[in-house]
Amino acid sequence: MSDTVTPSASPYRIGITGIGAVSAVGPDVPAFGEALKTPGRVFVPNNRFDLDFEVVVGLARPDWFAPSDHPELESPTGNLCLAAAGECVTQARRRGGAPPDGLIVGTSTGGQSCSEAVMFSLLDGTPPPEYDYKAQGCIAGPSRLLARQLEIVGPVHTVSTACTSSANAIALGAMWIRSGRCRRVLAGGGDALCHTTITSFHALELTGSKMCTPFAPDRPGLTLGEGAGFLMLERLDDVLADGRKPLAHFLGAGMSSDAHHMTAPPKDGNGAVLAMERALEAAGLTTEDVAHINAHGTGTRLNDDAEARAIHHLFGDRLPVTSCKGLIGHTLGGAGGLEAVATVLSLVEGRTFESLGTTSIDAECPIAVVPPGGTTLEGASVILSNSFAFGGNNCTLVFRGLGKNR
Amino acid sequence: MIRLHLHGIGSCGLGTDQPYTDGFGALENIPIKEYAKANVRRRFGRLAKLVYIAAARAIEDAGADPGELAIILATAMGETTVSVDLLRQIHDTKGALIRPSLVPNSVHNSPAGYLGIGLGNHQPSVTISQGWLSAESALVTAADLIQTGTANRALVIAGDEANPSWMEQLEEVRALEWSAALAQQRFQEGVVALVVGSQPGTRELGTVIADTRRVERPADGIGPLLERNQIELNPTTAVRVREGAGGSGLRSMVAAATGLSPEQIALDGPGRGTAQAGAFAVLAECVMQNECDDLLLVGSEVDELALLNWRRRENR
Repeated sequence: MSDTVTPSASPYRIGITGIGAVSAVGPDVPAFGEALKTPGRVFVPNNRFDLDFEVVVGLARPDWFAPSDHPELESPTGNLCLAAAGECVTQARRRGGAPPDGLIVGTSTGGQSCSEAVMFSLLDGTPPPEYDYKAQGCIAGPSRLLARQLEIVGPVHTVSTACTSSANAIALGAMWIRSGRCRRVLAGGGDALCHTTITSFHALELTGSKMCTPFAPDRPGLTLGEGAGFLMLERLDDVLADGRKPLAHFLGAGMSSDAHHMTAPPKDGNGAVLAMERALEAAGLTTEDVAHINAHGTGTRLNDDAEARAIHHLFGDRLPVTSCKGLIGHTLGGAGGLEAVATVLSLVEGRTFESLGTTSIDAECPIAVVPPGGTTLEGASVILSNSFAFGGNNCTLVFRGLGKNR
Repeated sequence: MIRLHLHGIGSCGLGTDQPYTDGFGALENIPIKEYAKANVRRRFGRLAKLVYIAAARAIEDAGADPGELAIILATAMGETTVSVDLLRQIHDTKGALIRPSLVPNSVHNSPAGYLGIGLGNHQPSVTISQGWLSAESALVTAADLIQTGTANRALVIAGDEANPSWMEQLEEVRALEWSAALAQQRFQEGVVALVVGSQPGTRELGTVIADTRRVERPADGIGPLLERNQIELNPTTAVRVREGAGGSGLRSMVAAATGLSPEQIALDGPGRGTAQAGAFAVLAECVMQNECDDLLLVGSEVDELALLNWRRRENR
C-alpha cells in the first residue's frame, strides 16, 4: 500500500472506538472474533418457525436477545440489535469515550416478527398478542428501543434498504459527523429471522437445506442467518485530543444504484464497481491502496459472479477476498454491520479471515479467495467491505488500520 | 447542516388527485399509465406507483436531469398491501407456496428500486423509515448527502399507501379496533416528492431545512432545536403542528417555546398530517398555494421531535 495515504487525507476523519456483534456464532465480539479465527459451521435445520419445507439457518440463541427495560418497544430484531449496540457503547465508554449523540439503525424487517404474530392470530381467529404497531411492528421500532434503553439524545434514524441497510446506516452515520450534526454516532443494524424472510428466499429458490459456499463452483445458494453489528463512529480529533486510540479509521463510503433489476445484479457488476470507485474517491485512495476485500459474497450464483467480476475489473486477482456468509449466514439488514465489525477485527488482528465453505473457486469468479487459516495484513492496511441489496442498492465502506501512525 | 434550495415539487394522492376525506382515504384511480411504460410499471406495487408519479411530477417541475438525483425515499410502512398478501400466503401454506413476484416488492426500498430502474439512475438511493417523522428524517439525509458532496441534488420522496381493501380485510378478521383507528386518524393516501440542491435552481421555490432529535422531554427540546437550526420567527411565520404526529399536546409545547399563544399555532389540517407525506404535503400546499412565505412545522412521535422550516425568500 502507498505510504503517502494518511487518514488525515480523508475528508471524514472518523475513528472507530467501539464494536458490537451478535450472530449465530456467539453473543458478542470475542465470540465472533474467535469464530472468525477458528471457524466451524453452526448452521442448523430450522426449528423455530413452523414451515412446510426444510431449510438450514444460522440462529442466535434465545438468551442472546438482550432484554430491555422497555418491553413495550421490544421486537426480536430490536432485542438482537440492542445486544450488539449495548456491547458497542460499553466498549467505547470503557475506552474513555462519551455516550453517542446520534443513532442510526439499519434493518430490513424491523418489527416484522411482531406483525406476523398478530396477523397469524387474526387469521386463526385467536386473540392476537398485545401489540403496538407504531412502537413494535414498524421498521423504526428497533431504533426507538435502542435510543430509549441506551439513553441516546440526538438524531435517531432508521435505514431500510434490504441487505445494505446497516452498511448504509454506517455510511450515513459518518456523514452526520462530517456535516457537524453529531460527534459520536452509534451506527449499524441487524435483523432477526422471521417467517417472511425465510419463506421469501425459499420462494426465490435462493436458499434450502445445503450450506452456502461463496464463490465456489456448484454453490447451492445462500444460507440465512440472524444477527446485528454496530460501530461507534467518533470525530477523530476528539478521540486524539482525549489521548485515546481508535480501533481503526473509517475513511469513507460509496453508494450506488444498479438501475437494472430488482433482484439480480447486472452481469458485469457495474453498480458494484461504481460503489467501490466512489468509496475510494471519498477516502482519497486508489485501487493500489487496498489490501483486502470483505465481499458481500452471498453464495448465490448471480451475486457472486457479478461481485467477482466487479472486483476483478478494479483490482484484478491480486487481493485476498473473503465472505463472512459461510460462517454466520446472510444476516440481511445486519450483514453490513457485522461485516464491518469483522473488517475492524481484521485490522486489529492484522490478518484476513478465511471464507468458510469455499474450498475451490468458480471459474466465473476471477478473484483470489482467502485460504483456510487466513493471511497476514500490515497494520495500516485498507480494507473494503461490500454490501449489495434488492432494488439494486450498493454500498461499499472503507476502513484502515492504525499502523504506526495514529 | 445546510438549508437546501427547493427546485421542484410533485405529489400524487389525496389532496392532489382527489380531495381529502374525513375518514380513511385511498385513491380510486392511480394514473400510472400516464407516467410509466407497461414494461416499466409491470411489477410495481401500489406504493411504487404513487412514488413514481410524484417523482415524475417533481422532476418535471424542477426541470431536472433524472439521472443526476440521489433518491431518498421516506415511508413508514412500505408496500403494505404486498406485505399483507405475503403474510396471508405464508399463513395459509406454511410458507411452501408463496408468489415469488411478491418478494422483491416486500422490501421497504422496493419503490425506490423501481424508481431508480425507471429513471436509469445510478446515484445513491436511501430509504428512511422513522414512523410519522420519516419525511423530515429523509430531508436531513438529503442535506447531509449534499453537504458532504456525496450528491449534487436529491429527489426526496415521502408517503405511504392506503388500500381501499384494508378496511374489508380488517373487518374480515374482526380487527374492528384497527379499522376504526384508521378512520379516526383520517389516514390519507399520498406521496409528495421534492427536488432539492445546495444552490438555487432554474426554478426556485425557496429554501428548506429539517432536523430531528430524540429528546428527554419534548417540551424542553423545541427551543434548542430552533436555535440549533438558526430559526427565528417573524410576524409572517406560519407556525403549525403535525396533527398526526404530536397534535394538540405538542401545540401547547410549541407555544411555550416560541412565546406564541396556542391559538396562533395551527394544526396541519384534515388528513394532511396523518399520512406519511404529512410534513411535505403541508409544505407543498404552502409553496404552491401561496398560503404563507415562511413555514415552521413541528412534529413529534414517541420521544422524538422533528421540525421543518421553509422560507420563500432569503433576503430577510
